[in-house]
Amino acid sequence: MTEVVSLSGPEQHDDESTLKVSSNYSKDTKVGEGTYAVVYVGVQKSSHRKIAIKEIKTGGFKDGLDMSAIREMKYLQELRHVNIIELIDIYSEHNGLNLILEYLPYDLEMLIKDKSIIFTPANIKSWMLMTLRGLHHCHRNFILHRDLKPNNLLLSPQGVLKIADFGLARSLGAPNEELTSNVVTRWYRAPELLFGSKHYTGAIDIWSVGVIFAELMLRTPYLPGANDMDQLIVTFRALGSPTEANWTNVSKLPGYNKINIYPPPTRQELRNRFSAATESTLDLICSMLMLDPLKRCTTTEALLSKYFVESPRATDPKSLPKIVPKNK
Amino acid sequence: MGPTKCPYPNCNKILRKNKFKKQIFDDLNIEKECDIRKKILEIYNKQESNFKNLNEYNKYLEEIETIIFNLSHDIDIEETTNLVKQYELMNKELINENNDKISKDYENFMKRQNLEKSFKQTRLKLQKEIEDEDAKLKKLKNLENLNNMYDEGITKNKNNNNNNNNKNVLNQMKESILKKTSARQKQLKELEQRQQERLSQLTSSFGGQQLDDINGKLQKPETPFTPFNGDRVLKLPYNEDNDYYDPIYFNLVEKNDEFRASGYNLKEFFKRSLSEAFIGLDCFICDEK
Repeated sequence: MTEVVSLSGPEQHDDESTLKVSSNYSKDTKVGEGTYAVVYVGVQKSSHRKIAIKEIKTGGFKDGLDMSAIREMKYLQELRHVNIIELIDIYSEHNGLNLILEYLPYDLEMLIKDKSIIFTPANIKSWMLMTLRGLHHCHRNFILHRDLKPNNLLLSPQGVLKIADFGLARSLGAPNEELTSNVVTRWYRAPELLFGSKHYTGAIDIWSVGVIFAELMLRTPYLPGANDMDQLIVTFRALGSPTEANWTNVSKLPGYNKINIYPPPTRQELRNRFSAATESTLDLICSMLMLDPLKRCTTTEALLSKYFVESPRATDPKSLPKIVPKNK
Repeated sequence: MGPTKCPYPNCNKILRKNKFKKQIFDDLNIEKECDIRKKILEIYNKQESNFKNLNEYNKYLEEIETIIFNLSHDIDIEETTNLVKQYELMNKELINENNDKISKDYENFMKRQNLEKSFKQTRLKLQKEIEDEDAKLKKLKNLENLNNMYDEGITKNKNNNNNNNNKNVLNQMKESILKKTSARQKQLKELEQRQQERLSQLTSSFGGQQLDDINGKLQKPETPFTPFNGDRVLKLPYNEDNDYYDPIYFNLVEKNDEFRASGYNLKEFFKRSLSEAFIGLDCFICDEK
């Protein structure tokens, strides 16, 4: 089944070997800075391969390393798949940790926003296919990503899509564990999370992929809520309000409140919204955006859907539209 | 009357009534170029499929443009007209063949267009009818509910003969509507199927062939599509026991309705535990390295 790399993969190095490891990578230019890390572009000297170095900031956190850094290392060490970002190595330097990651110059959000690029149905299919394959690999290892959005779907210079940013990932919870519902960027948050569920499953990732799918078709965010309350309204206005009839026990969720009742959209309304979609495209979007998480499709079902088999065939990654990174 | 010489001195053209036309563009130069283009394209009408590669086709297009440019800007008129005439003579058969092809393609395109239009119209109509009937059904249900309530009131007064009749009528109406809806749905399905068939017929006849040719040029024969890229685990290293019952966990999940609403599936969790137990087995680190 999965490659077992946790033991043979990146290792903790002692001081002497750290020198050896760190001297194998050059840190060249700084390309970005987040709350807990600075990202540099560099080169792996032994292979001349371009890489990205994520330098984790230490200090300032009362419990040592930031939680998301630990999560990212923990899960990326275990996952190895063409559609998931590769963690090449880890070394520590000046009390800071450095993650050596695959160099992936641009993300899906940049493509969606670049209006000079035209998406064909085959392009969208290709991105969806790669996203779902990556997510399928996470889910079959019982890992929830919990922050899927176009911004976290990176693209290699060869056009291959890779899921990145595992800073919020965790494994499927046991029944006696409570998970926080404050995960996933708001626009891509599944309804059970909006209602404060503490025992959600991989279905929340499928929801995010469904929203991304819609965004690829529309070239604009599909459910852009202004705040958490508004997110509920925007979601249900587009997809209908949940009731006990279409979602058993929904009213038992801690954050459930009966706000405005919107009727579910008719097929014709959906056709009008996604004017370029074929019937099987709509079928797949709908099954990924089912309100009841138990009725939502799994990654396996999504990959086996008619959408991927019918013409046009998904574009080869090499021929997908790309952005040439600007040199600053 | 009849064809006459042009009244301008030194212009020896013969004017005929049917050669006059209405001006479309304000700019006479554009008008002239359009006329010339139309004429030339009727002669130089090779398609991309007539060429071995794109480069040759582009060269051909360039040639056409030069001819049109020359003719519309009065450059080397005699030479160019001779060239065109010669080409026409040399390629007469091919020209006729291509013209036939083009008109057929156009016909096919129009047929497709019409077919799609009528398909959309009928589909919309059927859908609307289904929706209408749904609404009617809902109304009937309401009526029935009211009737039932009324019934209850009446039975107390021991007079329900009349109402039984009412009930029957309602049921009959309901049934007939349901029948209609299912018939419509069937029609809809049939319609969609027929449309598919027709479209595939059209594509397999003339118009689509070229399209396939072009597609064939772009996409070399590939490996068949596999949704999981050949990486799907069908056989787990362990067997699941469907009757397995864990009193503590099952109790926890069954007692709290929140689990059902969150889509929680205890079996998935058991799978996680099992796969964690089995994942390192049969794996030798020295081989993996």
